[in-house]
Amino acid sequence: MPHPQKTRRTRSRTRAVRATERSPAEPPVAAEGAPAGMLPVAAPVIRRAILDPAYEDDVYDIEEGKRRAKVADMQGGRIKADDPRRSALTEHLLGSGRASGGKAVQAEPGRIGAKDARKSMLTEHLQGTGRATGLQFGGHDLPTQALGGERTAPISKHLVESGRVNIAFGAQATKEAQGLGTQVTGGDHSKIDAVAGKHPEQVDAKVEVAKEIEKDRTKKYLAEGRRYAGTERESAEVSQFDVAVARQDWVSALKLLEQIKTVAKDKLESANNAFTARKSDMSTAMGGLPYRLPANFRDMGKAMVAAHLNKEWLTVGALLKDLQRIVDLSLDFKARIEAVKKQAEGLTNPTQQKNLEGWIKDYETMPWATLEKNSSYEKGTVAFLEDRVNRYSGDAAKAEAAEKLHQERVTKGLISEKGGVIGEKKVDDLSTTNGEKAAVQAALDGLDTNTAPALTHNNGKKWGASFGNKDGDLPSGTYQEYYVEKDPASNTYHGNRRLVKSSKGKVYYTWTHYGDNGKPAFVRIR
Amino acid sequence: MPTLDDLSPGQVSLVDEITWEADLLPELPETECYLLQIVLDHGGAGDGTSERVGTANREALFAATAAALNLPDSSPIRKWAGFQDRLWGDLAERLAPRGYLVLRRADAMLGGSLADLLTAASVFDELARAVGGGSDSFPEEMALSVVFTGVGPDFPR
Repeated sequence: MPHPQKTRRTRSRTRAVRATERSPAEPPVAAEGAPAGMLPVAAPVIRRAILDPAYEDDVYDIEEGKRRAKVADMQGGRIKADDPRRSALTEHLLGSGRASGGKAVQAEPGRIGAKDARKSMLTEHLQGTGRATGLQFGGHDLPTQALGGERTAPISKHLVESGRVNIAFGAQATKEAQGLGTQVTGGDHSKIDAVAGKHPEQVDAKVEVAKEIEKDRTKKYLAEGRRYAGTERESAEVSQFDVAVARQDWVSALKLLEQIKTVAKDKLESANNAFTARKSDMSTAMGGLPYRLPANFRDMGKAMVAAHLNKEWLTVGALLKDLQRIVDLSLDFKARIEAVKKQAEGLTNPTQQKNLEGWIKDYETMPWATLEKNSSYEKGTVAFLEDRVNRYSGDAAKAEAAEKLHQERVTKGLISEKGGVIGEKKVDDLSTTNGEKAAVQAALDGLDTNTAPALTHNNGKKWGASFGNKDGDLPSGTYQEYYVEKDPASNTYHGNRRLVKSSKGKVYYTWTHYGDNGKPAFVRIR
Repeated sequence: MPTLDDLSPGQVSLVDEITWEADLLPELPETECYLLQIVLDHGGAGDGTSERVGTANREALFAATAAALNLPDSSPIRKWAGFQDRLWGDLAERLAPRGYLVLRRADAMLGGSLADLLTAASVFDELARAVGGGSDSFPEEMALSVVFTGVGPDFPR
C-alpha cells in the first residue's frame, strides 16, 4: 500500500530515532562494509546525514527491510509473546496490510490468547479477505459441544456442516465421505474451502440443511431399523445396527440394515406361510365354537395382520405364535367338547344327562382363563366334563355289563334269593382229602339213579327232604335236600356235607352246613 | 287253662310260661316222648319283674338251640337251614312217637325280632309236618307239637 513520502519520512524519522534509542542489548547498526562499532566505518554515514537531508529516510527504509526480515523470523517463535516489540510489530503489520496472508498470519491464532483484543481484529481481517471462512464459527476457541463434540478444524468442520461426512477425523472423514460416494482429497478440501468461503451464506444454509438431513436420516434409519428389528433384540445385527445409528455411522448402519432386512424377509415369509396355513383354523376359531375365545383374540388378529403389512416380523412372530396357541387350544377343546356331547348322548341315566347339560352350559360361557386350566378338574373345564362323562359312561357300561352278567348268572342259577353270587365248582375241583370228592360224586350218582347212597350216618339222613331256603342263599325256587357222606373228622352225627337240588335240576353243594361253619353257604356243583 | 291235649301236633301253640312250667311240663310222659326245650335269655328271673321284651334275636335263638342240642362250639348254628337241620338230626336221633319242641320265653323275641320268631315258627312247623309223615326221609313218624311259651297277653294261661 503506497504512502506519501513526507508522511512516511516524518514517521520514519521518528522511528529512526526510536531505532537509534534501542536498548543497549541490541547490537549497533553498522555501515555496509565496516565492522560495527568502528568510527571509520561509521564516518561516511554521519557525513551523509549531515550533507543529505533525505538520508534519514533512506536509512529508515533500510532499517524497515531489516525489520521485515525479523518479522519473518518472529513466526519461528524468536519473539516471545510477552516481548513489548510484539505489539508494535502487530500494529505495523495490521496497518500496512502485509499481514493479510502468509504463514505469519496463519500462525497468529495459535499464539493470541482467546481474550486478547487483537483476536477480533485478526478474525475480522481473515473474514474480510474470505480466507478463513471456516473460522467464522469459532476456530479453536469455538466450544466443542456446538458441533456435538467433534473437532472443528476448518476442513473437517466444513465437511461436517456441508453434510458430506459425519465425523470429521481426517482419515475417518475421508473414509466416510468415500463411503457416501464423495471423493475427498486434500485438494478438494481447499477447493471446498474456497467455494464455501466465497459463499458463507450458502454454507450457513447448507449447514442447516445438513443438520436437518442428519436428523431425518437418523429418524429414517431408526424407523426402518425398528420396523425390521421389531421391539426385541433377537439378532446380533439388530444390536449392532442400534450402535451404528447411535454413532451415526451410516455406512455400517446401512450394511446392517440390509442384513436385518434379509433376516426379516425370511421370517416374514415364514410367518406369512404359517398364517396362510392356519387361516382356515383361525376362521374356525373365530366363530362356531361352543365357548368364548379370549376377549382380545380379534384384536390380536388385526394387530398381527397390520404388523405383517408393516413387515414387523418380530411382532408378527410373537402374535402369530400366541394366536396359533389359542387356535390350537380352541380346536382341541372343540373336538373334546363334541366328544363329550356325543358320549353324553349314550347315557341312559336322566340325572347324569341333566348334570352334564348344566356343566356344558357353564362351559359355553366360561372365561377363557378358566378354560385354559385344562389340567385340573375345576368345574367347567373340558377335563372336568370329560371326567364326569367318562365316569357316567363307565357306570353305565359297568351297569350294563353287570346286568348282563347278572342275567347270565340268574340263568345259571348263580344269584341267590337275597342277591348274592353263588360260586361254581366242579366235582373234579373238590378235594380228595377226607373223601370229599368221592362222597359228593356218590351223592350225585345217587341223584342220577334216584338211589340214596349208603352213609356211615345213615340214620335219619335226608334224601329228597324239602329245603326251605329260608336264608335266601339259593335262588328263589323249591328244593330238595340230600345228605352226603360226612367228613370222618366231623364232630356231629350227620356232618356238614349236603346237596340241594332245585326243581330246575341245578345242584348245589355245601360243606359248611349251609354256611353255619363259614363261607360259602353253597356252590353250584352241577 | 290249656292242657297237653290242647297242644296239637303240627301246630305252634302259645302258652303262658308259668302255665307251661307249673302245669304242663310236669304232665309230660317221661318215656316215649321227645322233648327239647330251647330257652331264650329274657334278661329276668322268670318272675316277670325285670323281663325285657324283645331282647332276644335270631342269634340268641340259634345259640340257645345249639346249647339245647349240646352242639360243640365248633359246630355253631348261623343259618335257618342249619337250625332246622340240627333239630332234624336231633329228632331223628331220638326217635319217639310223640314229641314236644318248646321255645321258652319266646316273648323275648317279640318286638324287633318278631320276624325271626315267625321264621322260627315256620321252621318248627315244617319240621313237625316233616316228621309227622310229610317226608320220606324221616325214619319214623313223630307227632311233634311246637310250643312257644312266654309272658304277657299273647301267651294265655
